Amino acid sequence: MVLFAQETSREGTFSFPLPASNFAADVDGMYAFIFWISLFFFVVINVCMFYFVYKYRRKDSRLPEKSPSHHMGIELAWTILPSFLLVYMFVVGAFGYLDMRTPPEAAAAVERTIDVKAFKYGWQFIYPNGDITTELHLAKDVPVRFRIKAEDALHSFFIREFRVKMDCVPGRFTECWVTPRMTRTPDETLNKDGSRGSLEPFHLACSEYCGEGHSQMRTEWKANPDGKTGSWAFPVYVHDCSFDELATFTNWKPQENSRWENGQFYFKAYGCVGCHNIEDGPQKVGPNFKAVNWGSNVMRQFEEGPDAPADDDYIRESINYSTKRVVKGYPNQMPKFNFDDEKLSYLIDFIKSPASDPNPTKVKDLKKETAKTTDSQSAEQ
Amino acid sequence: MSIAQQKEKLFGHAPEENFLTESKGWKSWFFTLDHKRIGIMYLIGVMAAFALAGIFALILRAELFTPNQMFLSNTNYNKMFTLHGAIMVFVFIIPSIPAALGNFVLPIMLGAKDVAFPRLNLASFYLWMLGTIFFIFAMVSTQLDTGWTFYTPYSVQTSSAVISALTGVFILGFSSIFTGLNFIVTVNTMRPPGMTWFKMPLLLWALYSTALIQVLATPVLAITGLLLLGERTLGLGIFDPALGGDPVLFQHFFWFYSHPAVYIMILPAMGIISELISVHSQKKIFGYEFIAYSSIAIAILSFLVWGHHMFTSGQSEMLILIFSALTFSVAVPSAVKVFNWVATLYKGSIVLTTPMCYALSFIFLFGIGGLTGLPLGTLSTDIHLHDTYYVVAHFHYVMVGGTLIAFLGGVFHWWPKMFGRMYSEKGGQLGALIVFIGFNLTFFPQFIMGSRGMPRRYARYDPEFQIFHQVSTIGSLVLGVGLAIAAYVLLVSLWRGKRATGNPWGAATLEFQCCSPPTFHNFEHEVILHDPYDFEAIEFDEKVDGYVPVLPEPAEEPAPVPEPVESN
Amino acid sequence: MTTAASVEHHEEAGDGHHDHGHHEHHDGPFIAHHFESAEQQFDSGKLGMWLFLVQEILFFSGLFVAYIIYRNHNPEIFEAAHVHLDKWLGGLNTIVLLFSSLTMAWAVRCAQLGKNLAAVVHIVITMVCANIFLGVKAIEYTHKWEMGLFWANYYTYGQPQPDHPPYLMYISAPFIVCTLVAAFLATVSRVRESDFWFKFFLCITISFLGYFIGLGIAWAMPSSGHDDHHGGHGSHAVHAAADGHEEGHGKEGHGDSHDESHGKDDGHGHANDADHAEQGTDSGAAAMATADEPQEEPDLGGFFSIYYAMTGLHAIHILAGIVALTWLLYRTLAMHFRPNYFGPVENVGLYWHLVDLIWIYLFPMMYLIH
Repeated sequence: MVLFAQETSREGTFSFPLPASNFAADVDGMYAFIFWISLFFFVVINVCMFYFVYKYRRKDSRLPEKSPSHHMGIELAWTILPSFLLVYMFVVGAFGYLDMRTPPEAAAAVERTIDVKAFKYGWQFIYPNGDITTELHLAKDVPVRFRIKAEDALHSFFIREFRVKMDCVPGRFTECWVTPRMTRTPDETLNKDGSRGSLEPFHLACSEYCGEGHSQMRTEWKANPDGKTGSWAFPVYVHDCSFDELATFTNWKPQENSRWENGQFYFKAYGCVGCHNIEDGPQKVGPNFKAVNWGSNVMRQFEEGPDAPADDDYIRESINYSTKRVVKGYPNQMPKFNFDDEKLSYLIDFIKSPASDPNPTKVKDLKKETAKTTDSQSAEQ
Repeated sequence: MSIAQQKEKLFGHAPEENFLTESKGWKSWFFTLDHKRIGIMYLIGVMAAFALAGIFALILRAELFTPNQMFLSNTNYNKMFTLHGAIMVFVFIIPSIPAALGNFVLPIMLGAKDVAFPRLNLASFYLWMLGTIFFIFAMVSTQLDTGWTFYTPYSVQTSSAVISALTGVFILGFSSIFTGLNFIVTVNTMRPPGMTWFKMPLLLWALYSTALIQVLATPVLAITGLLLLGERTLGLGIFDPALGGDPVLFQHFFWFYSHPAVYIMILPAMGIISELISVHSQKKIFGYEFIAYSSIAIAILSFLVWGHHMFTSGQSEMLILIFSALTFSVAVPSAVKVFNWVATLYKGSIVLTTPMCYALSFIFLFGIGGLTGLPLGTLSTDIHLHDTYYVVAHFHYVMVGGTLIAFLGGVFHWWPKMFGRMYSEKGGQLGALIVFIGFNLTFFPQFIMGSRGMPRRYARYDPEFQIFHQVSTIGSLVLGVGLAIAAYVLLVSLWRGKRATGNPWGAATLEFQCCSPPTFHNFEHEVILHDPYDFEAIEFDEKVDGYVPVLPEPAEEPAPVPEPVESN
Repeated sequence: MTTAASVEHHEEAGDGHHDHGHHEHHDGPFIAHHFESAEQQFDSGKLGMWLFLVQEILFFSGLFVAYIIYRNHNPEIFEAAHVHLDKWLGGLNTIVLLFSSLTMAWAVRCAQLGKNLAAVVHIVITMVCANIFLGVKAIEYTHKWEMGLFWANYYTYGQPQPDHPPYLMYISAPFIVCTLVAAFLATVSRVRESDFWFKFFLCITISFLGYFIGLGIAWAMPSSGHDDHHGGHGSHAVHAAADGHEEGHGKEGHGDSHDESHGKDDGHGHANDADHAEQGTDSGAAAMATADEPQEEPDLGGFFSIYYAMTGLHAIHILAGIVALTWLLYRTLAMHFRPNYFGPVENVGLYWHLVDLIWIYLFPMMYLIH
């Protein structure tokens, strides 16, 4: 026990993470109430049990002295009395639950609704203004409603600091709401050099088993301490990809950056990072793009069918028609996308060189040309 | 003939043949219709399944020793926990007490010669074998990675061997249905005259309630499995959202069976504990009728609470409130049983035999398992705890700390009856103690992980949780050692154990009136009926060197066979 | 009866195998050693059978629940789909099954009175009815498959149908084989002058002929006959009817008012009327010609998934019933039953009534939707 206490000198209480939402305190309080009631019963039962075992251990005679084997009063009492406690627990729990499921008007408004899209294995958040992020951006003390859907399999939207959980079911919307009461600012979780800061960032996790990448289907959530809503108002530190300056998703416009940077944005925005690593690290579900060699002279091997050159057209096919050919040794789990050629060319540039921008020219200058160039031309940079 | 002579005649000699020796050769086992032999075959089978799934568990725990990959890839981890869960649930726990111990004990306890349908009984064993073979086939082909719950649509999408595993589940389901059907009919029609419902041992009440659940709930699993098979092979589109189906409907169907299945696992365990507590403290069970009725109440309520597995699934709020309220109602009969067991100990004459050690650890562990069910039934707290390690710890405390411990207690209690040998009491107690310690080490840290927000079924985890996982892994090793000791003690007793008398514990139930091991027809004499918990109706007999029923004073003409004794 | 010993192995409770003579029984040859009396055995068997039936009902109840939920979620699919089901064939099957229940009950009564031969007659009639049912079902199924009315994943109705395999031949093949084998064995038994086996196989042959009777009746029924003669043409007719029906319910209509009224009519139960269908074809074709966009008809795959799951499972139960009846036929011919031992007949009878009962529910749920 001491060991636990030392090792978990983390945020929150011994058994709960930080209470970062409007209902967290109620939930923790309810849990504490049940815990102490349970502990009381547990101690009474076990103290009695061990005491009896000691006191009435067999001594000389096999048969014990006579004692009643039935007492209606006592039996009725311990049948009925605890029921009152149970009713109390049910009622309090039910009200707490209804709070969680009934968004106040402030949260139910359209401009406070964030679409949550869960897919194998990542998250996408679509804000009222059309912004898309893979991290969840909220504002402190501003209620917000989540409209949740799943692309492929069952997932579950779980933020432990909020005490909120909702399944993501393919083919239907589910929803929940929350008012964040705490936040982590980028300064706390991220040092200037990009390494992890002094405090752990808050996480959002998938808690319904969804397949191979289930345990890595995590992302961060942040709340703007100024109370400004939506991702557009809050500068985001994208620490695990190497943007030169800490760009905000808000101001991001495709045509102002290089193709590679655009690709990097889409790569993160569409959740490709969920399954494909772009730096050295643990193997995720799909191939690690840092380790893959590309080019028309490099052959890819597939689960079925003949080998094919890993050229740009192949990358295009494996994005937009992902299930057609599956690289040997990997599961056929990638979702199909439907990107236009422009987006594809950005993504291809990034995928082929995920570590750094091979050609830091701005798109603006090349825009006309980009529209015309074929993928193979832009590949040979 | 004096009473002493009568006793000598009835109980003083071990018959030359017993059910183990009365016929020989593999055929005499494979085609046997004897419930005792079928029970023994079941016992060996479920123990083997338990060992297999237990090894999977140890591998899982070892992999979780560090947050990052050690030797199992994500997929292999997923397959490992699925196989662990599916084999434990479908192949081990569900048949463990009813089919293995129940088959052996139920007819003898009832004073009957066999179950009502011996052929069906054998068929049910072979169905169990067949279902297990399908599971093993799944295991050696592409394994299974859906989780034991087979949730759609993942179970339709995955490339693992869902079809053979589902076929296995379907077949195992019918094995379970036939066992249940057999038990209901046996208890209903084959009680000897004089054994009224309220003179049945509590284990029979528990097995009867279990059998009701088996017959009424399992068919729904069968049709669910069949529809899911259709979904995978034909694309029926009933559960698969890609074809217009509803994945939440699958969850409803699945839990409509699988929640009652939880009570198929725990009810007979409670029955065993009722027997053990009473016999090893030589005291009439406290509140017999409350315990009996609570078994039936649990069986009925178990059908009404399946939705509490789906509080976050997006079902309607009204349904969720109803399910939560009903869930709390199940807590009452379970608590009543625990109170009654503890009250039975009061002023008893308690011996810490191995079965008693298991019974006491049952009360301790089931207490934790049951009480941690409360925050899971309470809606606001469940939203946070759902699908975390808290749930994992909770159901392991109930399934392992409850069912497995009771199963072990039962095996130790009836072992002398089954094989006619006494095991080393010291060894048995040591095993029970180590199992108890190892179990708590393994699963207690998981409560803390869970409430801190560690989701279940995670192959990789946040370093924050590492210390808990490490304690848990060490605990699982201790648990494994404890179980190995228990198995060793039992196996050694077969060769080295001293012969067991017909009634080594001084139990008053009927199965301890016949010799150990029983003969083919169970009883060599008419059974002497008395209250199953009336310990004054038995006495120690020096000549027989064991406990025998107190025989009535002989009438003027000594009756060769005593009349059934009507006691209170 | 030389076969009595082997018969016992089939009998659930009737066990002479392990009878060590521990207890004396005077109730007849079929009392198992562990039962005290014939009554106890009969009661046990009957209770067991009832429990089995309860689990059968629960087994089907899963499907009924799925049906209710899907119908609640998608009432329009069910309305649009039922026109594809031929309620005359369904009704015929209902009558056939009801009649077979009657003969089954009669057979039980005969066995109870020890009239084994009369029981044989009724059992054979029951089996013939079971086969007629399957024959009609075979026509219904294959007719739908030819039109592409499959379950969700293979639902291709409304699309051009490629050459389909001879579905009816596939389904009928096992029955043809069974009939021929039974007839052959009957002949052999006749030649060898084994009266018992001749009777047995003759009865089997007769009962399998029921399947072909069923095929013939279904073929000759005016409604399905029409569709069959016209082949793909007929399917267009039904399709157009369903299409019109949709319009009748307010979906964007692209036909004229004449078309709409027809659609309504068809939707309310005369889809298989020859004249209607013929007219529907014309107007439907016209409607299709005016609108070159794909059909507006909803995807009915979900309905047919449930339809095939429920009726298919029911048909499997009928097959199981035929097997049980065959076993019963054998034992009845062997004169096993007497007033104090007729449990097997009673239990198979109960099973048969249940299978019948399930159809009584299936028929209105599937065929008579409004």
